[in-house]
Amino acid sequence: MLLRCTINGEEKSLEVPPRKSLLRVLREDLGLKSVRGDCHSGVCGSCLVLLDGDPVHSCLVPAFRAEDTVVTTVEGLARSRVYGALRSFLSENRLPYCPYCTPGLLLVVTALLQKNRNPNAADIREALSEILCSCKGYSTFQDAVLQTSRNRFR
Amino acid sequence: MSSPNEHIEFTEDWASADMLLGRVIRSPIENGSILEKRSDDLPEGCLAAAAGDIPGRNRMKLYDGEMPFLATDRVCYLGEPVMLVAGPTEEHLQEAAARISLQWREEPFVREEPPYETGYTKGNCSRAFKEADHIVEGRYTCGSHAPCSYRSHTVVCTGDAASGWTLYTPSLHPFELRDNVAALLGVSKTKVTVRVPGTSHGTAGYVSSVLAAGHAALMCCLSGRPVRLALALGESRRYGPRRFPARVHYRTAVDAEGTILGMEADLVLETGGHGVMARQALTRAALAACGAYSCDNLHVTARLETGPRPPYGGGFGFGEPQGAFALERHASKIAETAQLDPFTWKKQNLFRSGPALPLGGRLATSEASLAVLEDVVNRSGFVRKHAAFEAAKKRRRSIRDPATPLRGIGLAAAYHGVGSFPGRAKEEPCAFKVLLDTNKKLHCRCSFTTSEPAWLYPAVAAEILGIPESDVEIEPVDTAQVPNSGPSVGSRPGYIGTRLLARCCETVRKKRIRSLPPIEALSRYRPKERTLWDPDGLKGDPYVEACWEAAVVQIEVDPVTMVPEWKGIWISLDSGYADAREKSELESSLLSEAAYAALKEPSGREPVSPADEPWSRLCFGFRASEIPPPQIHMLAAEDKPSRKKGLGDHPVLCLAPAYANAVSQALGHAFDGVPVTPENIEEALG
Repeated sequence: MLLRCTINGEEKSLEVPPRKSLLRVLREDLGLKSVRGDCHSGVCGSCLVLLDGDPVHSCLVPAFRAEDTVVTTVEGLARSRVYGALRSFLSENRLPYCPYCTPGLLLVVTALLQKNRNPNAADIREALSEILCSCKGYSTFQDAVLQTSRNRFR
Repeated sequence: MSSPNEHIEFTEDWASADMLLGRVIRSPIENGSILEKRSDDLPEGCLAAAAGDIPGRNRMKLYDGEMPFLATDRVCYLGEPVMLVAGPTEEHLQEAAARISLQWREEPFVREEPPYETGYTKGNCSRAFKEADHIVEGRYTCGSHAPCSYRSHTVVCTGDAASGWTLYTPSLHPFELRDNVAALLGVSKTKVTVRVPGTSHGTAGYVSSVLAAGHAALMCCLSGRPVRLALALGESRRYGPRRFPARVHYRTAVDAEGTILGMEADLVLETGGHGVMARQALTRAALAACGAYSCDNLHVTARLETGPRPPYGGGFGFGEPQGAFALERHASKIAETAQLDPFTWKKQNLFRSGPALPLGGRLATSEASLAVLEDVVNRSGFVRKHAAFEAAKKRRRSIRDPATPLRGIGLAAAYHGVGSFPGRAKEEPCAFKVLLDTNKKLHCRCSFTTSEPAWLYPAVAAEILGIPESDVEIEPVDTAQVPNSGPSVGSRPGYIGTRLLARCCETVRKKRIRSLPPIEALSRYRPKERTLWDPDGLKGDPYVEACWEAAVVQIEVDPVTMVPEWKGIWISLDSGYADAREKSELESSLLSEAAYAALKEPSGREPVSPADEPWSRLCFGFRASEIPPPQIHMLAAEDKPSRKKGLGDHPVLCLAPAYANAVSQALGHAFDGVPVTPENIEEALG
């Protein structure tokens, strides 16, 4: 079947089998390697992408569900101000960029800040829970988001 | 700004036209004989390998144990690697695997004599028991535990006999891995290079990372082509590393004030099919049998037991968490018998400066024990809450009354070793190199592969050389380029690594006065005689340093569902130098330990359907929003990064016992095993 959608700002038109997951289309057909499939059960969050601005586990989403939507992966965040601010925070604090969990964390935070300009710690923690981070923990990211939202919307 | 992921290539995505994909064929039975191994009629371009194809030694030797890379004529655990297949595509691989024919004769597993026993006696236990006012007895169990990691494990091997082989693999001990692969291939160590890319994180730990690397190298050697072996997450977790399950029996003589007069302890650690690294864990657990408490009369027996499960492989605390759980649950019972609140009892019995380890070894900085205990008790309001929950328990009419919340709070304290070696210290190499280049950038070369080097080493270099942290580069681990710093275990990257780096930086600082860059410096760790740990003779100190910790966990059990909800976690640590970045990392460890304490263990069997093993939740543990943000306080006695103690995996020893103590208080029933799940609670309460 034909899938038409916007991926990271580019309009795409792809022939996809009906049962193929969005994860496999993004990774195998479009080469977006930041989207990973580890648990394949919607738990770990390494496959997380934004579908019309909402975080979804792409391993659980059939590709055809992306018809006429806007899909964003971390590659598509490069020009986002939120992304820039968060990356600067990580860099200034010498926190390593983990290619496994950082993309998903950046995506959920971007989605959160687009909907809630002034999230509290509980909102942030709930959003970050979409991603299982086994390296940095959540407090650092929570601080980064709080600081970013304060600086951005002050 | 571009996305960093655009420039990252995960090891599992590496591909070349001639690359083969590999797969491990595993035993579906727990114990038995292999009657036949056939690999006829494989698809074109595919390869199969069995033990008979190994050109070198079919034994992996890791510190104090060994096991085969591939089973020969018998298997002794579920999932034991029996054959390997390789093919150019996934489809070829699947077809090749389907054409492998294996015949088995399943035999019942019979537990033989313990493969290893140890024990010791200090003072006069029988006299202590005669003089006792109370005798407190308890039996405690700990399940296996896998860390909450979700990353699949991938190894790539390239090269040939002429140029040598290069392995790209996650590893906590790249030089041990290199030596084992060289022995497997029957070549000199110089023919094998191990590189640890940042994108090859895995869950396969100590034992299974060496196994997987050996399997990839063997297929590469036999085929003459690059091989990529990827263990899917489920496979990696089912056959990967776990904490040794344990059973502990304590019998304690106490006087009317609750002071320990004597203690008898019997410890059993299950090793799985092969006891790799188990002696180290057992002996350290035996030595820590009386944990953080003074006891003049001790009788300790300890033994290993094999079982038909994948080798657990040491790690995740080297026996300390199991010992800490049993002892801290037991300590609560002693306090209850003496009618003291747990904090008062601990204050009375904690050893401080002066008393040594049971066999004469030293335990540095023992005065910190009381400081961390008081800190965590004060911050959590433990004494007040404990008394209030006890009073509420006495008032309630029924445990099943939906209107009455079941509240509990638990306290635990322990020390964990820092800077340890899994082998005999004297034989362990440990070196660190730095290079100050002409651009005044400092390059650090070591074989530590944990996260501390990334944030701690720049801080150490900045402290001593006065250069910005951004001018410090930690070079990738490559056994051909970096010195052997030993394994990244026992907080060594944090404790020993920082000290070696500090020495290197001092050398550079002095040389810089007389010479211009480039300046190189090398430092080697020379352990003091007293730190040489001999597990067979139980002599020496098992650790160079100790780090104290205390934890409080507050829970509320739903009277209808019996699901405990975590309401608060407070942890205090004596960490040497404190760094906020480490505090955040500790959260991940705490989530993992919370799963050890409270979630059902995965069965370890291949699931037939998703309903058989809801392993995604079981393996991954809690979501961040299910556990309250832990209140971590590092009691920093030092203000210099070079005085860091290094916390490693350990600073979570106390979480499981504190949780079990809290549930026990809430329900008025002793829960003496982890995990404490709602099912266990229902069963215990009838």
